[in-house]
Amino acid sequence: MDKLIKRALRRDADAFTELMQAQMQSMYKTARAMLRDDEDAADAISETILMCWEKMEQLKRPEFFKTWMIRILINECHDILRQRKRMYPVEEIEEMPEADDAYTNVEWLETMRGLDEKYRLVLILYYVNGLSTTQIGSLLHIPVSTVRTRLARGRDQMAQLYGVKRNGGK
Amino acid sequence: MREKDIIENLQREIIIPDIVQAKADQVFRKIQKENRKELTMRAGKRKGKLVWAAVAAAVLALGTTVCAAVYKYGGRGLVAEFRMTPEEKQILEEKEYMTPIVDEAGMHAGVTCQDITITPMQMIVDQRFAWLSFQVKGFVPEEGKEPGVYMRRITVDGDEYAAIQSYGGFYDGLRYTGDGFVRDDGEQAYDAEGRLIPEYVDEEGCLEYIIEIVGTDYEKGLIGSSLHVELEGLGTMDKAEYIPDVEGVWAFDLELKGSDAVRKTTLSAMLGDSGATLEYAEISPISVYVIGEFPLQKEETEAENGKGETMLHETFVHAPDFAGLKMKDGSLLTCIINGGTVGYPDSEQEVYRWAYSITPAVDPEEVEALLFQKSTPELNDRGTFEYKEEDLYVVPLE
Repeated sequence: MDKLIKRALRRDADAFTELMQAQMQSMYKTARAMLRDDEDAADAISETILMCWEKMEQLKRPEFFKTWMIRILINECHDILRQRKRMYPVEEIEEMPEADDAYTNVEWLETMRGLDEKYRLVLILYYVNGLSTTQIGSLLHIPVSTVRTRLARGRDQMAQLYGVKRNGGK
Repeated sequence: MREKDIIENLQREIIIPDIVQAKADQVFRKIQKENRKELTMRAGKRKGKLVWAAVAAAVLALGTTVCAAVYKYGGRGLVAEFRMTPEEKQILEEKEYMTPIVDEAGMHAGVTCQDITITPMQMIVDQRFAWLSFQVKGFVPEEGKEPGVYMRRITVDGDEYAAIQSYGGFYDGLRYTGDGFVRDDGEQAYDAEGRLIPEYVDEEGCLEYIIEIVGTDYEKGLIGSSLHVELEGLGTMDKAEYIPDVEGVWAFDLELKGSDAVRKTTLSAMLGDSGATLEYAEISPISVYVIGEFPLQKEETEAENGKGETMLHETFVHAPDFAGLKMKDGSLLTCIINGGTVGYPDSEQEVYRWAYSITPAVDPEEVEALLFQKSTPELNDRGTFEYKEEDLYVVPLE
C-alpha cells in the first residue's frame, strides 16, 4: 500500500483509485457503524473519497493515511447525522435488507444491529481498521481508558449475542 | 464462540452494496476526468498574484532576514520527533547526522514574505531519510487552530519527479514518551476529557515546520543532493481542509548534509516458517534498511453473500513486519518506526525490502539484533501492544 500512497501523492489518479478501492471494506463498515442505511453510507464514502483526493498533498506521512482517511470519513458521517438532525439508537437501525440482495452480508449487519451504538464504532475502528486505542481516543475525542472500556464491553455484548459467556477468550 | 471468532466475524469480508460502490465509482470517474487544478481550487480562491520571495541558502538576496546567532539547540520539534536526550543529540551532532542550516557566513538565512520570515534551521540526514526544521516567525494561528501550509513542493537535484517522497507538518509541542504524551512547555498535555492539547507556538512566538524526505528509492542517495523547497500559503486546518490566511511563497535552495556512515551486516536468516529470508542490513542512528527475499504469495479468502454463495477474494501475503531492535543491554526497542517503505521495490518482485526511519536515535554499534513480528502481542494496561521475545523473530547481527 505504501507504493500506492506514494503514487497517489504524485496525483496519479489510477493509483489513488486503486488505493481507495482497497479501503472500501473498512470505509463501509465504519460508515455503517455510524449511519442508518446504505444510502447515507454511500454519501459519506463518496464525499470522503473526493476530500481525500483534494487534500492528499496535506497528508503528513503515508503511515498516517488510514487514520487521516478515517478521520475525514467520521467527520462526513457526523455532517450527515447533523443534517438528518437525529441519532440512530440501536432499535432504529434499519431492518435487514432483502435476502435476495446480492451485496449485503446479513450476519455481519445483524451483529451491528445487536451492538450498542457507542460500542459499534470503537469495535470497528479497532478490529477492522486496526487503529490503536490512542488513535481511536484522538479520533473520537474520548479518553483512552474509555476506549478500552468500550472495547471490553463491546466484546462482552458480542459474546452475549452469540449466547456464549466469556471465559478469558478460550 | 471464542473471542477470536468474534473478532473474525467483525473482520470478515462483506459485499459492498451496489449503491455504495456506484457512488464511489462515480467519484472515481470524476477524478479520472478532471485535472488537479480544477479540484484543488475548492480549497480556496486565490486572490490576485502570488507574492514570491526566494533565496539561495549560500547567498543573501533581497528580502532576507538573518538571525543573529546560529540556532544551537536544534528545533524543539526535531528533538521531540527523535525523542532525543541531550546525549543522543550530542552524538548525532558529533557524527554529523545533525547539522545547522547556515550560509557561508555561518548564519541562518531566512526568507521574508508578507512580513513572515521562514528560516531553515536544522537538518538530520542519512543516505535514505532527511528531516528539516524551519522556524516560522510572524504567523500565529488563531488559538486552538492547527496551522497549515497550502502547498509544499520539493525538487531534488533539479528533478521535480525525483524518486523521493516528502511530508510536512507543524510541530504541535507534544512529545510521546512511550506512555502517553507530555507538553514541551510543561503544561498539561491532556484536557479533562482526555483530549490532547497541542501548542504550536514556542516561547519565542514562533512555529516550527518539519519536513521529512524519504529517499529509499533515490539511487544516488540523499547526502550532497541539492534541494529546492517551496512553501506556498499559510493558514489553518479544519477537519483536514485547508483554510487560507496568508498568500505567499517562501523558497529555499539547500544542500543536504549528513552522514552516510552505517553499520552494514550480511545476514543469512529465515524468519521462522514465514518464507521470508534476510540477506543484508544497514543501520544508521536514524534508520534501518533490510533486504531479503519473500516469494510472492497470494491467498484467497472466502466470504458468503446474502444468497449463501461463496465468493473468493484474492489478497497478497505480507512478510513479517519489522518490529524494532534488540540492544546489547537486553532492552527491546519496539514502536520505533517513524515512516518508510516496505515491500517489493521493483516490478520483478524478487527482492523484499524493509526501510524505516526510526526514533529515538540509536547507536548502531549497540544493536544486537533485528526484531520482526511473529505474532500480535497482548495489550497492556495502557492499551498499547507490549512485545515479548516470544512475539518476535529475533535476528542477531553478525
